[in-house]
Amino acid sequence: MLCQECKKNTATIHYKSSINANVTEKYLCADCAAKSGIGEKTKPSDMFHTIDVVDSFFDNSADTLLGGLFGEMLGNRHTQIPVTGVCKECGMRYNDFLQGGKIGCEKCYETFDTLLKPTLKRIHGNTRYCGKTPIGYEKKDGTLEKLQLYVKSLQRL
Amino acid sequence: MAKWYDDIKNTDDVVVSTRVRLARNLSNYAFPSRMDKETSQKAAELIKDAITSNYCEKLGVINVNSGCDTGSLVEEHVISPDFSTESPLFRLLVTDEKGNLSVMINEEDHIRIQAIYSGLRLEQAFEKANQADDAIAKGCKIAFDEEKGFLTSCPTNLGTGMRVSVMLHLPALSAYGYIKNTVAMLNKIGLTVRGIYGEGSDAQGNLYQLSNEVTLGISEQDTLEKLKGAINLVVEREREMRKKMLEAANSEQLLDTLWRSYGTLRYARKIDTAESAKLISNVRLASSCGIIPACKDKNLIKLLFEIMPSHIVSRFPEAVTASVRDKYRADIIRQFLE
Ligand SMILES: [Zn+2]
Ligand SMILES: [Zn+2]
Repeated sequence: MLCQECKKNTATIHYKSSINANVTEKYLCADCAAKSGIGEKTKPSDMFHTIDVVDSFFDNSADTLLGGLFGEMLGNRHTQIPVTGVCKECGMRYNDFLQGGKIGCEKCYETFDTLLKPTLKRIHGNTRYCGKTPIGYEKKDGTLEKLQLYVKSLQRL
Repeated sequence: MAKWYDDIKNTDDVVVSTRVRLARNLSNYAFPSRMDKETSQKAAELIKDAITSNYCEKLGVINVNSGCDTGSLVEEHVISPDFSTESPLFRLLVTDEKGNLSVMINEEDHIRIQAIYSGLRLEQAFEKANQADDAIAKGCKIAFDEEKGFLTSCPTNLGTGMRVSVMLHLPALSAYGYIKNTVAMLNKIGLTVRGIYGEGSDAQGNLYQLSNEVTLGISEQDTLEKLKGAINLVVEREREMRKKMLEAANSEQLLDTLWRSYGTLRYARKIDTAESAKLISNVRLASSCGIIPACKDKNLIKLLFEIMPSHIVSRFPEAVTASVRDKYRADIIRQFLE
């Protein structure tokens, strides 16, 4: 692929930025990338570039990240897993999520738990929540978990 | 009117601002993407009542749907650009006087709490946002799960729902081409760095935003600690490079550029946003290195906000065309630097 800037050299740098959800993608050669301040070849004389603090302060890495993530999911899984479920609470289908990238309601997280797992794992790793608990939240009864632990400890004996 | 960026000092030479954002949703209400207008108004009233009655300071409420001018608030980073656009939902904005705290109701999530401060003030920003979060939770049931944490519209925010962003001014690291290395190092520990781009977006600025990527499996406090460590490293490197830059053999050329930037700002009669932002950035670098003593006590970031288009229009309503604004902008800058 040729560099989109000079249209002469081969593009070696894929550059992607998301500003206010406008994703800009460019394929540049090393020289042009350096000229626009991307990459390592920037020289001290090139240091004074335009800034615009405002427009992209709120830009969301999430948008770019998700575009790729769900896009991949769409490509890899969409055709393999029959997705028929509908969230009883808000009416969202899993395909709605794949297209829009937004969850419909809190119940969706239960309804599509298995389907969402790979996505969550890719974003956050294989982990469990360990942050604050909202004021007024009543902890679930832990009896079942305790019982399971107890059974496990018995099995080990 | 007092603003959150009024007290940016030039001792905040590298870290310009600190922002903590918390994403929350109500339990028993569909998330904003699947909500109708009527329900969104009910939810908004509920959230507004909770925060205004339980928060420790007096707060103002703005109905964003009433066509009020929100351009300046976007420029000041008090609200997101998305929040100022037309929406099928009923939206409210709750803020304190200076805009240090703002709560966007019915943005991507029902509740987006934001605390923003000048300089590096991670704890203070988190405390502010956290207090607002508690105030809301006292009055509303929040969508939460013990394993997944706060349930958000976008799975990237799931967990703490917390995004901490620090704006860094890195002219020297950029100049020497160390940005790529720095970014790679930060990515390795789960942090994101993004450049802040001009409108044409082909030129990279010297302002960067450093923020946490992961929100699940790490506590709020650990996230702050991790960022603090990373920021200290970057700040140290940037300061080292600035020193090196001034001691370099060709520093005369650098001095010339910096002083010329100052000269242009002092005497220009017409200047656009991009050029003035670039030159202000240069003067800020110079001032932090002890060059251009006249700017030592000037809040140049404040100037950067005041030259933005919506700010100029709100002060001079007759400045409807870009060309007229360029004239007002030059006036504002000259007055500021006098
Ligand atoms: Zn090229
Ligand atoms: Zn749902």
